Amino acid sequence: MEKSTESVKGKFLSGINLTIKPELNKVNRTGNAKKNAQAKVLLRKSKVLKAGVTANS
Amino acid sequence: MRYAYYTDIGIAFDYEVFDFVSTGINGSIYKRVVFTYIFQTEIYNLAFGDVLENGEIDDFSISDNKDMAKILSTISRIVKLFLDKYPNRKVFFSGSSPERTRLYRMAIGNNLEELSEIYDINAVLKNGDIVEFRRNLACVAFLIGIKS
Repeated sequence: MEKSTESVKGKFLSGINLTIKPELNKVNRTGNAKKNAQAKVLLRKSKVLKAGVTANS
Repeated sequence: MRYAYYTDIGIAFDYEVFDFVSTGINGSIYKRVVFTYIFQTEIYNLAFGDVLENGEIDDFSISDNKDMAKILSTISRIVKLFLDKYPNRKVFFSGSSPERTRLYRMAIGNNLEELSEIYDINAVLKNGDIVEFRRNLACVAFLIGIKS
């Protein structure tokens, strides 16, 4: 697979070497279905999110 | 975070999949972070775990490679990479068990000053309320955005 590198900026990311891996594009993105469902239930309960803002944004 | 982190990180073109290799007493173990759209317009779930032979993520695995701090430090940087790419998105995550959620809460609390310079960190409570993260606050998940 052809790979290429990406640059990063900032002290927090200092030293990180990012490599684009085309094979990662084919990875299953659905994640853990049970956890995603639990997250949705929690987030739907949130009055703050329903109002369109978060507590600290 | 004051901890070392893995510096060689693979990414998908869209910055929604990342992988790196944990090296420790049990050898080299592939780890993967996947950001999955879950809610409203911009909330993405962070899934993390070992990469299985079939390519799936096992988020219940306990590899016991004695590098937990280094892994968490690496994930905190992966979240930054994701949010730098998509500054309007927010990252939702929780542990695969209450113990792991507590571990994440402690890791955030122990590094709150540094992390708060970079992120807006919110805690998701059991009743779904979302409040600003505080140390020792009982919560079931976290919602992270990049500081604007």
